[in-house]
Amino acid sequence: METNIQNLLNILVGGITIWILCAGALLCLLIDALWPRKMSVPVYTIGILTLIVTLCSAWYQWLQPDLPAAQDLLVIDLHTLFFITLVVLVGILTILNALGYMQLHNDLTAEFCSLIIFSIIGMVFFFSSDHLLINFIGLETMSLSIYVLVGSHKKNFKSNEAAIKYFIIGGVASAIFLYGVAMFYGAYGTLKISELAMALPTQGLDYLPKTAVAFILTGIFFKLAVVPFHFWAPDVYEGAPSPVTGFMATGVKIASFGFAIRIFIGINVLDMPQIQNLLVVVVVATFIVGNLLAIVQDDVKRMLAYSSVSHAGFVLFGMLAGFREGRYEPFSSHTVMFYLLGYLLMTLGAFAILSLMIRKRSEATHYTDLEGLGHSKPLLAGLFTLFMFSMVGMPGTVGFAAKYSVISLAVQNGHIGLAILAVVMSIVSAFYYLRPSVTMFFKKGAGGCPVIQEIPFTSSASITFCAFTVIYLGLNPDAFIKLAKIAAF
Amino acid sequence: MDTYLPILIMFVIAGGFAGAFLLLSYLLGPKKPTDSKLSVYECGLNPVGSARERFSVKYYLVAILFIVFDIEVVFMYPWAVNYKNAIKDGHGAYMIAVMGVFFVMLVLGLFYEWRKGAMNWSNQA
Amino acid sequence: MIPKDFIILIPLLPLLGFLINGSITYEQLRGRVCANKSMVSFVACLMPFLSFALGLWVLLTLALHPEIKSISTPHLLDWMILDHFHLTFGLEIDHLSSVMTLVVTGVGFLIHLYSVGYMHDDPHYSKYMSYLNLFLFFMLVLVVADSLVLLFVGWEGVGLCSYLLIGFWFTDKEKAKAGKKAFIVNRIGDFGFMIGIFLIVAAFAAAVPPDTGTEIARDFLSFSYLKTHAGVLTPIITAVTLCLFFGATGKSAQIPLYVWLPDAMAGPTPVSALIHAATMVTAGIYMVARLHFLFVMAPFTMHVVATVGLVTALLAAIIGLTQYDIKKVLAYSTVSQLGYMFLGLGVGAFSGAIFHVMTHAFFKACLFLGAGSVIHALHHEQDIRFMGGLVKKMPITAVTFLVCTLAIAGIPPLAGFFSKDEILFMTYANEHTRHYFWVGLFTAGVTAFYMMRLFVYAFTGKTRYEHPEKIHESPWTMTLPLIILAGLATVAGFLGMPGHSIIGGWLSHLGQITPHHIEGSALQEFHLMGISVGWAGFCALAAFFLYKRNLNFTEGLKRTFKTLYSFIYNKYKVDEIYDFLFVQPIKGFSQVFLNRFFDQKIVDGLMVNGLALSSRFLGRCLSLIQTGLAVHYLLFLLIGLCLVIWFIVNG
Repeated sequence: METNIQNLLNILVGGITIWILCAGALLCLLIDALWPRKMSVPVYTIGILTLIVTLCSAWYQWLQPDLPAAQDLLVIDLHTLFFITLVVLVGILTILNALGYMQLHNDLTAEFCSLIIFSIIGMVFFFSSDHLLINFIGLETMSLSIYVLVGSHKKNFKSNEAAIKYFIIGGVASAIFLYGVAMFYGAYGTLKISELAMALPTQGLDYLPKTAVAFILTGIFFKLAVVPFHFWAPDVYEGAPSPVTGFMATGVKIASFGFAIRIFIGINVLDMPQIQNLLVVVVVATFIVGNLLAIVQDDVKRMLAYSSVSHAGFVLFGMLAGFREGRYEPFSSHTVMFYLLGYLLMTLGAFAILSLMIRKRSEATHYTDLEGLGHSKPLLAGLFTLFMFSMVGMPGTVGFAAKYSVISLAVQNGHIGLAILAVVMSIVSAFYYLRPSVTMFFKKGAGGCPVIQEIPFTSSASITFCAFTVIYLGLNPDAFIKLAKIAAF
Repeated sequence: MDTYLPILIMFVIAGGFAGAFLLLSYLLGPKKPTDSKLSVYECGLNPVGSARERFSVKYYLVAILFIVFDIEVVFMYPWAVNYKNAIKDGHGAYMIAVMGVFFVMLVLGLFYEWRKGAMNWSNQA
Repeated sequence: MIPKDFIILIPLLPLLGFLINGSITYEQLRGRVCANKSMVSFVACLMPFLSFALGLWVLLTLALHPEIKSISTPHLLDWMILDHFHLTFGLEIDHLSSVMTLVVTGVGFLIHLYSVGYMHDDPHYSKYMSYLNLFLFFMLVLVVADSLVLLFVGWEGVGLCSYLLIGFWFTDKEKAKAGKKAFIVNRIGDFGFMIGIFLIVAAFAAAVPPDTGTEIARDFLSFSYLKTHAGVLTPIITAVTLCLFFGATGKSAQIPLYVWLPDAMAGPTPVSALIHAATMVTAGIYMVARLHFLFVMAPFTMHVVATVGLVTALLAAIIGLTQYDIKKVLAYSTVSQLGYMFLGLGVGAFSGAIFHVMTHAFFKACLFLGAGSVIHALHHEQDIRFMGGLVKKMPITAVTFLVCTLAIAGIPPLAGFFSKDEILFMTYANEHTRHYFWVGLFTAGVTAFYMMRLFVYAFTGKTRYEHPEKIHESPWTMTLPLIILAGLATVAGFLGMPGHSIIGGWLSHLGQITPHHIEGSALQEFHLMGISVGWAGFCALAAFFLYKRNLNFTEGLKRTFKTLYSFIYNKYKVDEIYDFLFVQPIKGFSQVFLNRFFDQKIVDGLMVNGLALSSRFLGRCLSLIQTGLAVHYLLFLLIGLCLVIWFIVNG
């Protein structure tokens, strides 16, 4: 009896971040259900407050000397807390972006907010659970919410198409992932990562667990949208409303990496030479395809979709860089974590600006729409350029610090060829990242009203935050690298 | 790989049996087709139009609602069966609390559906 | 005792002033507010004054507590933490920086005050004042920095501000060009400076073995670390110091990079006084003095420093003889005086050099401000041939100008005498550079001559200005700084009385070679003093009487040595030589090779367009499989799955 109550309390206290998120999401739903279509602004306020409180409680737990460590299924360790911080940050910025976006599109629906929070709950389960089934449920919770979010532009044909496409293909990918999980169960009779770690032999896996690893990897690769599992990404990213695209491009990838680090370091299969070879192939393919295809795009959003593909390649490269003579050093995952943070800030900043582009009540993100923006909104255009510079990896921005840490790790561990490829690809990427800026500043608009007219307060808040942190972390990256180093395994 | 060989053999035998009997009935059975024999079997009713019709999306909604409660029952059955033992072990309050959380969430979801008009067949919500 | 956190305020207050006035300017440009001039002036003058007060407090603290060597806030910001290289920003004020702080803020404040009068009618008054504040901020950062990198930040910052202020009237193309020239020439010097810094980092990085593991990262570039670990640099010390010195020649206008300073006179006159006489150009001196522990390790560099200083002093002084633009004369005299300071540094008289920086700041600022006062009164007439007779019209300006002229000429008991004499004596005391003394002495005479010529031309005789009735004395905001500076130029010298020099004792940590090592020094010093005073006085008197009698008495000489004269007048054609040697070849190379061939053919043609075309082509090919059909995507997904399985299971 006592132990059970204690157990319950432990779950309540240990998983406090998740409880807060659940309560917030349900509250948002309820308010919207009780007073339909009238309480959108309070709902969003509650949503943002929920996320902020979650952030605070995660921070509080971070500072606890003895975390109420491993629960049965949830693992609340520093790794989890770090990734919770990241996804909650994504959530806050996305809701801010979405508020501005929806005000401009005159389509303020309250479900959006709770869906975002539900999706974040899914992410948290995804990367924080010790039990593969719970991981899977997290993955599905995240994905289902996002399928709906992608289609939240109900009357937009492209948005619907994207949602259905993503739903079908994502469903298949989830099934593949689940199949891998099932194979693990078939091989070892357990789904707990900690127990699997003990059950797995250190050398020479059998066929079944190898196949299981392959299936799970495929599921993760799909969510990361790395080549050759990227085909859905441009279509879906283009069709989804801009804030949702930003959310998908950052949140899903962060959560997937959180999970990948947890499971693969947890069950210690990364030292298989096959995985390293696979990573090399995927990284090289992603660098080349992602960057080359980004060049030929004529739509900023689509370009950013491919850029997110190549960034995912960069993060994967960060994982690969941690291999030293065939063994993965878990500590070096901190570079990946820092890269994810930097990527989050610059991507969401760019999407915040992209969310504001509207012409004739629909999104206008073609390059020609940007013409003359540098003259009508110089500050905004300048900030967009800043985010693009950061994506290229200009010194002084967080993008540089992130890429630098990844590449220097790769060089230290002897992956010289890939490091050179990464640098070359960064240079190539300047070609398409700077095109929007060139269009904005050096091309006169063909007349007509500029594509951005009003900037809602919430959007400017998120843009300011992103710009500030992009510069601050660019100049002083250690502030966060320290935290990532603590949180790394 | 050896451990999976029996499974493979079982697949082959099962497939073989099914195929063999289909083939045999096709070869051995007499064939006298009439119009009514060739028509689609619809519980004795005359079929109207093509089978490839579009359904109202509302059916899906109902189906999804059904699945939610279906799963709920699937979840509650083992719970209910074990509850007796749990009381004996003194875990009753804990089990009630855990199921309470689940149930409250479910009810909230139901409430939401109801308020959003998901249960109304017609469009005026 | 000053709380150590207060010293952050010393640079930050002018920054605050800049932000306030800068935002006023911005709003004014937007037409949202109409700037209140007295408000702007108040803010702009208050901030340097407060900084000055804080600087004084620091100085008193250091003076009253001899056990305190410096006041520092070492960890303002961790800028970069690499494995063994720790770059932090911190501030540190020791005896040397406290003197510089006072000079910068004190003279800076007076010049701000002066600018209130001088620039009052300028339409961009608030912008001007905010730039001045920004300049002070960067200069103070430079002075109170505790590491080479932060010093470099300030160094670059003053370069930026000098560009902004020289080209302040940028609508005049010549003035904009002068700003550019100053900036570019400075950049060349900065390049040397940066290479010096890189060399230091490289040397330390090589010295620290990478596998020292737990050892905490250290800030190689902080002065305290450099000082204690200078031994590491021994093998490359000459290269490092030469590079750093090259940087100093840019900022402090020495040969070969002195050409920007005369052109920099295009800026408003208070700017000339602030930047090109009292503060910015002394940055190089300060840097060398700050890193004296490195320079003394490299005798060859010291010799180069002394030689460059001496040659610059002499050549600039000779140019000064020929100029007619009142500001140009002063500009060359600045170059020449800076040469003296480098001579002092080169012979190891670090405290003497800093002492000369201080006295020079007083009298040169006063001279420039006096010139500004004249220019203001004569409605932007700068040619001394059209001045004359201003003694009666502008008595305060004239008297202060005369005082400072005598000070720079080295007439006792004015400040310039003491500081210049200390440098000259130290030159003599150093056996390696004894023969430099005579050249320095000759230069001192030349200085006295052309300064007196300037005074006679501008202030005495008949008024040659076309509207003499319009000339009037300047307002009090302009004359008050003149009086104060002239006063300082009169008394400051006593800080450095030979024998019991206060400033020498104050800066004793710079470790100069004391004259007591030389036998019979006191006597010798008095002899030398006598010689130099006599020589300077003779030259000054000669100039006074020769020019008083006939302003054009040199015409005959000019005609006789026409080529030589125009050679000197055009500053030895150095601009033309640089143009021929560097600018034109680079331009040609850029135009023909880089632009027409490399950029247009290789970069544009082959790389940009070629790469773009080929990557576009590749991209198009790749996007052929991007069909947009979910079925195809599913197929690719399954193919991908098969590949992954193949890799993992068989690979």
